[in-house]
Amino acid sequence: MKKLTSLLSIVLIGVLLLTACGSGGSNGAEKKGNGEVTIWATNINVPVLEQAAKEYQKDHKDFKVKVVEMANDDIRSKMVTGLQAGGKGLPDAALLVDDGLTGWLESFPNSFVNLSEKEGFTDITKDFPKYKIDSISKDGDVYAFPFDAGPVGVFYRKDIFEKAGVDPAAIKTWDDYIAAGKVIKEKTGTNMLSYDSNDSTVFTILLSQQGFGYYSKDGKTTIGTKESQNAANVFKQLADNKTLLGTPGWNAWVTSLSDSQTATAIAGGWLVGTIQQQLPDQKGKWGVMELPAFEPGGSQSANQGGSSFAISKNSPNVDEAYDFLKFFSTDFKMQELAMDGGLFPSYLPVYESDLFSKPLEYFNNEPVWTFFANQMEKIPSVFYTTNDNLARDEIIKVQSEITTGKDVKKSLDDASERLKNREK
Amino acid sequence: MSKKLIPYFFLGPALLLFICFTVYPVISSLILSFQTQEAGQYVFTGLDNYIRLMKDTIFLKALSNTFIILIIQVPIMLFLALLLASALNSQLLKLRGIFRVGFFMPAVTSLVAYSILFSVMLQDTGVINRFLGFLGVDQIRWLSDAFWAKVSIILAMTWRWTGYNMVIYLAAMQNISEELYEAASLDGAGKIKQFFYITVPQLKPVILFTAIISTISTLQLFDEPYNLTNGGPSDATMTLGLYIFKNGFEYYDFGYASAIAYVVVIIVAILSFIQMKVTGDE
Amino acid sequence: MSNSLKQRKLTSKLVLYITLLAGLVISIFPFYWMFVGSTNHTSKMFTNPPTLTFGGQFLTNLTNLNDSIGIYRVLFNSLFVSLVYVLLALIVNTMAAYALSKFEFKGQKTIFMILIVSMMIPYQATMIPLFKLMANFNFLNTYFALIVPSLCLPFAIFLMRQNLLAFPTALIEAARIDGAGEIRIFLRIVLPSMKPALAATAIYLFMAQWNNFMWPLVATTSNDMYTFPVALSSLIGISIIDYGQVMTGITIATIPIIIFFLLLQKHFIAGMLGSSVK
Repeated sequence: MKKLTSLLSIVLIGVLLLTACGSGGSNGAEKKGNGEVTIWATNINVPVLEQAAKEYQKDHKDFKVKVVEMANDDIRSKMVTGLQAGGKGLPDAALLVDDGLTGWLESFPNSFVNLSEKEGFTDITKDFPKYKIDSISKDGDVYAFPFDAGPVGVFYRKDIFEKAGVDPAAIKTWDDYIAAGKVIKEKTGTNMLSYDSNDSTVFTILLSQQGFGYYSKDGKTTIGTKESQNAANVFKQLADNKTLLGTPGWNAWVTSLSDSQTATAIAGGWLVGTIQQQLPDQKGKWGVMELPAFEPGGSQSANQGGSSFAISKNSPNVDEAYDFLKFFSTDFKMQELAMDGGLFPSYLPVYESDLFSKPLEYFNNEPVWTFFANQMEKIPSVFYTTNDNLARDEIIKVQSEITTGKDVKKSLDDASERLKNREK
Repeated sequence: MSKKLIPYFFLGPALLLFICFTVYPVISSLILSFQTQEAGQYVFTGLDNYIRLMKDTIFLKALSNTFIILIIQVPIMLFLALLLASALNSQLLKLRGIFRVGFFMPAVTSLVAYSILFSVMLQDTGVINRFLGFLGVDQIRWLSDAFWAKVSIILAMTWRWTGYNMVIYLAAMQNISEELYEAASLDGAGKIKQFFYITVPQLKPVILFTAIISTISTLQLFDEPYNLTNGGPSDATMTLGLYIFKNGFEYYDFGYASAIAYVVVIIVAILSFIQMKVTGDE
Repeated sequence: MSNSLKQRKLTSKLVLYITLLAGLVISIFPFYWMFVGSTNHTSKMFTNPPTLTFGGQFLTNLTNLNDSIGIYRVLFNSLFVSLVYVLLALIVNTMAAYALSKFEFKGQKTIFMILIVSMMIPYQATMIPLFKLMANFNFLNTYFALIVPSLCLPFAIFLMRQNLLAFPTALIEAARIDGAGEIRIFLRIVLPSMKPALAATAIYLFMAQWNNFMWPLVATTSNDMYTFPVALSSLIGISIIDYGQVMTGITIATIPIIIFFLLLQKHFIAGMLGSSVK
């Protein structure tokens, strides 16, 4: 017993020492001026950044980078925690989704480096689409290096359209789309559209196609405006025709695609990667077309998703991070590398690359990437605010209400009213 | 060592850790609940957060949802757990070990795995509805109808935690003397009578223990609504835990989130107190 | 008559077994599905009805998973953090429970009540201040930050106290009269009979620490300190997710808990409420 006790205490002391010292030394941004730049990014971005760092090191021998892989939700949780704690524990730079960045800039001012103050930065911005730069700006200043984008298309099932005798090229307006949906349902029994009913992505796309986010620049919500009614009416009519399928969550939504329960999917260009990976059996069955317009000749472009690199103001390595990210964002080869790694860059010159004109086997050898690249300059700018998350919440409720029979105008007005009570 | 100091010696380490890592953060966030963020800085606003809470319809909805789930789910789960434990406690039952591990498994099955599976199976055109359709039942909108979404959450929670509570009851049943059952058997009492007149009364302290623990965890319920319904449709499955999370991490309003948290604490404290009084335990 | 009675007993037994088996299938089905997922390509994840047959992709998934997160490092972190945590937490909480159940002193009731009430505080509310504290002392991204903050766990104190209350105080007093020191009494007389309760508490502690997600997520800042849940979560991309890898990872992460449960379950069954004192 005595032996056991002494053994136990030795183990204990050892353990305490070990835990106290921890693995030390790996404290990222906490340590001053070690020159190592820590960047947080999601999965497929990690190898691209690491590759870019290798390339960069050829001319910058002292440069060191540590890319930490984490999920987008996790980046958000960790960033919010760090920002709440006064900028503690943040990385030097992080890949942040564009529609969330403005909210952070408003809620946590002075947390990110204002890149427009850096010499020569404004020259960079002209190589990116205007909407992209707008989405990462506040009061005319840019706070992040623009990176990937999500130009939207309507992904449609060629086989189902054919079976129903519907010509996708004839769909010009949302009215055409809704009418086509009716025919497809009658002829094949398949829904026209499935959407993630726990989220507001499709509604957001329909709004941004018309050049609006959830708030206009004067600070008033767009919920209740004519544009929001247009968007809501698409849902309403599809639901009335019984051609709309709401699926709870991303996973259920992907299942609805793989299970052929929908003839179309409305999403950013990144869906190309998703369906190639998750739906290999449907090779050759998918095509992509532009969003239908709300009125003949109206806008047919929108953006969904996309992210950019922001640099933390607390970082001891601001200059190192800036130089590296500048190299990464504006180097043709690096952006080609990103494209090759499954990301859709927003750096305009890179669309000249062969990678974009390359036909995709999965899509019947159509040059799908050219289609998306052509969208980029046409995408209208959208205004983001810190209250967008609240507005999205309310829109998810609107979606559920109008698809189960509530009047569109009433539902939107109620939502706008509720939103007023919640705004900051 | 002076005799008076002995208990403090044993309590010391825990107390020290408790003060550093629980009391300090609690006081910190309690102060936060009286503050709000303006231009990135926290400023005192007195009781504003708490007053706002009383008028916040989503909070009130979350409160009522949480209570509906609590009142329905906890008794069903504990009753099921008791039944299972009684069945598995019988010496005559074969394969007890396998059943025991099997029923306990949901408590350790990864949340990620089961939330993907449940959301796929429970969607409108999912396998469960197909099966029910085969039996002639109309399509049930499991996750998109206000009533059924609550049912789904209750089912998911019951699936996850029944086995865990069963194990606790099984443990406690080892303390009930066999003689009680034998005597009851001789008096002609059937299994059902034995269950209600011996098992349940004998397990009262443990049932209270599990009831308190389940109440606490249901009031903080977060995982199932976050993963399955995101609080929808129209806040029908919004819970207090989820609302606290959303206010903090999605709306960046930790002052308000803290205020909600402390209102929940007060409610649970009162409830637990009542539970103890009603069951007459010390 | 005796025949029909036998028949009735047989039917009721049959019903019992069928019900239990059905419950068993429902209980382990998601676990089985997860295991199936780990042997299939990611595209089999979203079929409707769910894919239920094993594929031949397990080793591929495992290799990919190892390339993505480095299984050995993550496994070591998780095991080290969980085992050290269980050991230290058992000591700290059992000692506290002993003080709260076998002694009478000033503030005893108040302390116990405060501990119980503290269980009701949602972790989301206290996480930010705790994070600040860790950051100020430069403890972020250390094992210390992963283990120490949650060492004092009121649930464990509650559970151990329930068990200790059943331990006869007379035994302790007798030992005192024999001149045994207090620490000696605790280690030699009280603890040995608490083995089942300790096992029960250990399983709870292990489960809680092994599956803990939110705190390790914010407290670690580099991949080499990730625990299993955090590492697995890092596999989730915005549009590209390899579910074959995710399911393989989850399967691997679940196995240690099951082993832990199987090893300790005999004690667990007997230990939850102090039946060991006999």
